[in-house]
Amino acid sequence: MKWSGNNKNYDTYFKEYWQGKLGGESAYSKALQNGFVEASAGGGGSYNGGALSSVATAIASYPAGGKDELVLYQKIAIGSGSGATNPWLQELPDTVTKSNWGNCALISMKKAEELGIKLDVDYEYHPDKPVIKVQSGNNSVELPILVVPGMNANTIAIAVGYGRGDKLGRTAAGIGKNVFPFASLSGNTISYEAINVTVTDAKRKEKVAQTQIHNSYEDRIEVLRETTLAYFKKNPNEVKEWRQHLVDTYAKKTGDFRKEGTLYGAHDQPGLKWGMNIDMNVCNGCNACVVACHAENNVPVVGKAEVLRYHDMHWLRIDRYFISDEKNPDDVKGVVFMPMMCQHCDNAPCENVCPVAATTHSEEGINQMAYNRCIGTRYCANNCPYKVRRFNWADYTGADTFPNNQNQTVVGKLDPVVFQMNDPVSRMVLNPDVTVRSRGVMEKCSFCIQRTQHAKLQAKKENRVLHDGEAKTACQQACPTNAIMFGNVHDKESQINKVRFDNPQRLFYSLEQLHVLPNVSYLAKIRNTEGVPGGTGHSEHGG
Amino acid sequence: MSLNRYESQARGPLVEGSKDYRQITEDICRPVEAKPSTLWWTGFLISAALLIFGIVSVTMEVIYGVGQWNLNKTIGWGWDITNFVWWVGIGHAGTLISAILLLFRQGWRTGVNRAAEAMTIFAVMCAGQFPIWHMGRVWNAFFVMPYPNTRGPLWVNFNSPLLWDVFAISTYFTVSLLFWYAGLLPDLATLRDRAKVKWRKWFYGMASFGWTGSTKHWQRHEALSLVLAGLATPLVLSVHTIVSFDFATSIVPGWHTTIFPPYFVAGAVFSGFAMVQTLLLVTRKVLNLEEYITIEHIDVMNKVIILTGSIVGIAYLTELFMAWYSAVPYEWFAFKENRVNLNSPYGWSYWIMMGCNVLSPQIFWIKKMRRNILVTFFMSILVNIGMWFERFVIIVTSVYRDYLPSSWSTYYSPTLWEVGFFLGTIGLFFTCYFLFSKYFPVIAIAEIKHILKRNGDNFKEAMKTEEEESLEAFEHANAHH
Repeated sequence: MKWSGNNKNYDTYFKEYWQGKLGGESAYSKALQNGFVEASAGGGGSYNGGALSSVATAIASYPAGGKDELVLYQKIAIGSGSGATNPWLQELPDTVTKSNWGNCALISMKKAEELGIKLDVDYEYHPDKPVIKVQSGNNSVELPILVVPGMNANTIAIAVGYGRGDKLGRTAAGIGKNVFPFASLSGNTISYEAINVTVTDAKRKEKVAQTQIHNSYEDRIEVLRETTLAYFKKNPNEVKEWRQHLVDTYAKKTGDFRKEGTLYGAHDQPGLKWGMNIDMNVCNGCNACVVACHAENNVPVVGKAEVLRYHDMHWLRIDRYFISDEKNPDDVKGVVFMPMMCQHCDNAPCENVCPVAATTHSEEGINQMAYNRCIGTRYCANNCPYKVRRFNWADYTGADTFPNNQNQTVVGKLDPVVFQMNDPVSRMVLNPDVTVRSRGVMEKCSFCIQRTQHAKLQAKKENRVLHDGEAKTACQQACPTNAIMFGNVHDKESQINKVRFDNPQRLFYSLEQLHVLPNVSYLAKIRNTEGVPGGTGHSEHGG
Repeated sequence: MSLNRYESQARGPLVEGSKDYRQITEDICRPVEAKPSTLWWTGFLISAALLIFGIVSVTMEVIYGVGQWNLNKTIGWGWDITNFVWWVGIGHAGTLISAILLLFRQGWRTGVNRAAEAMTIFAVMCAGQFPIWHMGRVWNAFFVMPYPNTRGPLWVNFNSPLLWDVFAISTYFTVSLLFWYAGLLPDLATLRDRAKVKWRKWFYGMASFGWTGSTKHWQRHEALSLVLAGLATPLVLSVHTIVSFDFATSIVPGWHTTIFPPYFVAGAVFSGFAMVQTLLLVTRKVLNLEEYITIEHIDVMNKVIILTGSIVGIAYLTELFMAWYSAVPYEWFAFKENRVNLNSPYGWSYWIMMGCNVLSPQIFWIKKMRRNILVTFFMSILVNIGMWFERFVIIVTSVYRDYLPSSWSTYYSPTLWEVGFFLGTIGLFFTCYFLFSKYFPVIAIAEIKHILKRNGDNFKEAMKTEEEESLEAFEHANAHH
């Protein structure tokens, strides 16, 4: 305050400013009490035809560029680069491209064709992607490509915030390339595009780390349900009928394949039973849940080198599928985000294959891991149809008893970011309520068991029943759109029960035909777009 | 031409070259008593080097973690379990030859059973390495043992096929080892009795457990062999059945297949016989045992190869048909897109499997090919390559693209240490086999003597004069009754 040449204290200054604005002390107090200031009702603003025409002129006079245009964008995770030093954010896969640890040149399918890049098996199944050189004036950058279906044919998009110097620490240094030089000052604003760029094939390849490589869900309607609004209106009960058909086919006698779909017999679950519901309609793929899970559950950061080997450890991931016409994958009608974590199957295929009973089912319906018991055969991960189990391939957290076993040199060299966990200060990021898993054990989503246990204990200490919503999972808490609902499904009044009861036409369980009895339900995504109705894939299924 | 036919015209003698009992002992004991050849030393040192490389590879994996292999979040098993199943399969011929063929009274087994049984034991030893060392925390491997313990007590999970493997493999190994050793006893005593050097006398003396060759010993020996053969016979069928359960009881499309047990057993015998051929063709040449392991033996074993190879072929086609006929889209995808489709990432491995296992053995319909040593040797290698790929195809091409397209895996290829581990077990196998061929009789002396009277060259010769006897002479000779 003093530097600004003002001798009042801040409180007085603040008060005076707002009293002046609002007109008097009482109005100021009222605004404080309300927590907001109501803007004066101005009556909607008048239509200004002149302004519109001036905008139209401005657009028309926009300098015509060359054929290709470069657009700089910010990734959700690291933004302009402000989050670049955070390993969790670097490891967070991009919403659409599913790539992390670095930026690449996103190009359209048409551009790939133009550059002679074939989207074949090699392109999809190997992390080595062709590198292109993007040049604009004196600036040029060479980056590996990722082809994004549905992109404008001549637009190239590159994320900013990468290519940081060594001084920024072990996480950000040397990751990706800096493309800020392509931005330019246009009047008073920064222009984040370069309208005249030349693109050439650099005739070499570079590795791109991705956590998902396949784009289509291949009409596997048992995996996920999505359709257009028009189709849904016409066939509102399709999902419901399909589920009923499963019951009629595989549980003729009792109508419950909890009893008929297993060799082992149904177990009583008298008390609490945790369940989760995810509304795919409101999930926008923002990834907040993924980071929340990472932070809450001490999920290790593995670095680019390990993500390249498909060793990422996310307990919760968001599967992204492009919806497009089979004949023309470039014609994208929509994108589906499906948050996927352990489904806590009541008839879990992972549990019966573990030779040492390291993964078992709790009375509360949670599929639990006893890390101390696990010997790491990985049989459970193979047999998991959702592929949500994560194995500690190396000593990512410095938690095992072998000394100096992170200094691999021949195979699987670890990135510097992994070594951060050896610093006592860095380790303070770990959640003390959650075990840090050692190398060689399997891990996966626990429905934030530390939180459910805490809530139960709290209720017990206060000698009362557990209220709905007291135990929240980290992902649920982080979700800005409330797509994730979690609670006790035996409580008739619980939100989770209500949401399941209220949405019978959209409710489904992923791969329900396997009778693994997941405890995570989903609500189908209904797109308000035309074409490719979805939901009309193969209707036959296997038990 | 006489009407009397005592001997099959289709089968040649099983011991060639007019041997007597003494000559047999001499022939078979000679390699044990002589100094090893340069060829032996070369082979042995190469094997030992491979073994050491394998030990280094496994050490790296234990210290740094399973991340030393290229397995990933989607592909939990790759080369490790492929090699495991491959070796277990190879370990099937020995017991089949010694137990099942003993019960079926197949005389030709005596020429090859000793080496085949030894091979079985070494192959099972190699196989056992993989499920042990593929564990993330191998130092806790004893958790799979169900014994009263102080850890709770924590018990094993009897629902897990992997636990059944523990029992199946360890039982099979124990019975095979006992069977093999019981058969060795009289021969070890022979070596002891022939020994002129002190250490050899001591070693074979200890090893032969005081065998004297008394009638009582022989009687007990026969009884024990029969009991062990009885025990081993169901094991030949059960071990690979249980190994197949690892896959058949899972829910992964391409693994979840009810045809697996018989299909795996046939495949195991198929690959086991191929490995026996590979080894014996070399052994008979190097140790000059062509008169004991004859073309006749090779011919018979090639017949087993074409039989089991064709069973395997039918199994491949059946599961392909069933994948389509079942109308389960996931199952059909696993077969059509992950395997048959040559343009898919691993399409090539399916067609290598088909070529080596189904097409190539058909050459053995031609008798000339069955009796051609070079062709047989080449084929035996081809079959084992094909059978390795069968397991690779089943394991990797099923799991790398299963239910959720989001989890479809990037291309998996092994790391240096993964290959090193495999080479290490080949080293272990051949190191053991070389030591065996140097210190133990590779052919069961006592048993070959047992068939000499009926199947030896000299017997066939003697029978010839008998058979050529005219009808009149025969009637005359037998008339006085």
